[in-house]
Amino acid sequence: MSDYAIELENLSRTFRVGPGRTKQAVDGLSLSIERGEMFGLLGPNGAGKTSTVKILMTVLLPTSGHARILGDDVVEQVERVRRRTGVILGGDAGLYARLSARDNLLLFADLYGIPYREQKRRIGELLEMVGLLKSERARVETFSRGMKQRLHIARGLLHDPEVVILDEPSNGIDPVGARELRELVRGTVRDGRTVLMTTHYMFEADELCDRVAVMRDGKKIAEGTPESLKKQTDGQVVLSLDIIGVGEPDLDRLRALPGVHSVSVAEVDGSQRLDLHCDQQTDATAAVLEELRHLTVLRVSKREPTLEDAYVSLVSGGDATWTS
Amino acid sequence: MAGTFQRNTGAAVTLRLFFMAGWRSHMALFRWMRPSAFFPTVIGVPTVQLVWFVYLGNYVGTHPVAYYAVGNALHASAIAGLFAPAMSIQGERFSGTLTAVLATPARRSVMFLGRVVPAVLIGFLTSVVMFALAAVVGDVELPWSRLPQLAGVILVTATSCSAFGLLIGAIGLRTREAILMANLASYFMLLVCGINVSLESLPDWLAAVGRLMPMTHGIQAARDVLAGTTGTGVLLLLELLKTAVFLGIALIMLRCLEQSSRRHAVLDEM
Repeated sequence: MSDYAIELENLSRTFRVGPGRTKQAVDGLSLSIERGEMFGLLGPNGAGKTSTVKILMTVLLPTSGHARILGDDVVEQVERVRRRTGVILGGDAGLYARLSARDNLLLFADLYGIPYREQKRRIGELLEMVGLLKSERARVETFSRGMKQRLHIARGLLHDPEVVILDEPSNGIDPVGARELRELVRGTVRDGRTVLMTTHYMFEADELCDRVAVMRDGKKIAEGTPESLKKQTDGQVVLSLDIIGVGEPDLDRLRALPGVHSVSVAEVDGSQRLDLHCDQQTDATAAVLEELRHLTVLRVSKREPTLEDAYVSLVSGGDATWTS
Repeated sequence: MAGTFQRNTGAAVTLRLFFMAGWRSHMALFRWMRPSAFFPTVIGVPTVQLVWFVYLGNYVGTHPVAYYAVGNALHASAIAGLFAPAMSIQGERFSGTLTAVLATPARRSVMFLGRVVPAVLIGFLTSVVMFALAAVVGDVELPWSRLPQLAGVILVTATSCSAFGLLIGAIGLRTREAILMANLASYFMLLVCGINVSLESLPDWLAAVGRLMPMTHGIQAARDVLAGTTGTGVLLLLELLKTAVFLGIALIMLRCLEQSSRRHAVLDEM
């Protein structure tokens, strides 16, 4: 019996994206997740989280490396992996919109080979747990996003899996719905399951996960507890500028300034917002404004970094040095 | 504690996967068809087709009108038989459920064969209605004594068409062209299966292809049953043999193409 619930060993996946062109979606990823642990896989869109999840779901083959769930190889022992793993997808995909919530669960219960007598009991319990008992006969196409996500959770837990994989479960859900959802996810861990969750919401990972790993461009750039991630920003400040017309050469010059750790840019109401993670001791404000003197700077502010900033610093900055 | 849930792989579970999951999948993918859409599609199209060929055949005069009426009444089972299994996989892709379904440990052979059953039933019932119409507009005599035999022929033919539909549906695991293929197959069958054109009047190679297609022997058997000729058993056995071959190839293709889709990451492509 394996000591770990999930083990990834130098896992890689390459996609063909055009004639003669390939993309390395997952690049030598290694992870070991202990039984009963709640593990978060973080990263921006395109970081390789979903490809990793699909490999663990057994619907995508790795190009190289190994992935094991409870000691079973996801390529060689597919059926055992599928029986012992529950997958909870985010968004609208994965549910039959024209069936009721109960019929969706009945259909998947048959696909998971659950005897009928058990189905009735299990489905009733799960619908109650996710708060959909009153809507069990309504077609899923009439459900809100939050209701669909709760149904996803019920579907993923139908066969009482030992390992649960959640792929961006709170994507597109309102704050109240997301809070309820996190409570449900917490409940799955209390039942003794191992949970791997992908998300790009740092606060969600902070609230739920024992440990997290951050991915960028298919590679793991950091791994540890949320607390150790927060420590990444000790001794830093965030210099925030609203600006018009900043380009990639400007960003490169800013990155090269002494005391600047990382630079991220986002479009905000017709202008751009630059967030520079700088050393607290080195006041880079004057140097930054000098580099941007040919542009219109609308606003400059300085603030203490948040947990989100630590994550942004990792995924937008250079190679991380943080581990714990 | 997770993981203690009792799992059963016995006959009852397999039967539920075959019948109940097959039926629910069918409902999930075709429930958009309210009666206002279902009847024109399943009954309206074959009705127009049957009447059209009966009157065209009458005008051309190559065969008695009953020839066209019987051929087209049986071809009606191909509409449900070809399209429902083809769409059952393609539809999963469009509704975004294919990945979730293929991530389950369900035995693929039982799961996919179960999806053929509703297609067989609908194809059978459609053909029965079309034979009633054929009696009215196509000079087809339906003696009570031969109806059980005719029902058997219709059932075997509908099964054969649905098996061929599953073969086409398997392509939907790898590409998005299963519905186009089902359309092509349906029109091709009109030409080569002895529905409106006898195999003897086709070039030898095309007639040989026609004999390999579903329904060809079933149509001959239906005409023989209605004419009171003996020897339909051999024709039905040949149709059943083709059915077994179609199902066998379909299951092999489903297995290979599922593996290929995992390798090439095409399960989510719309």
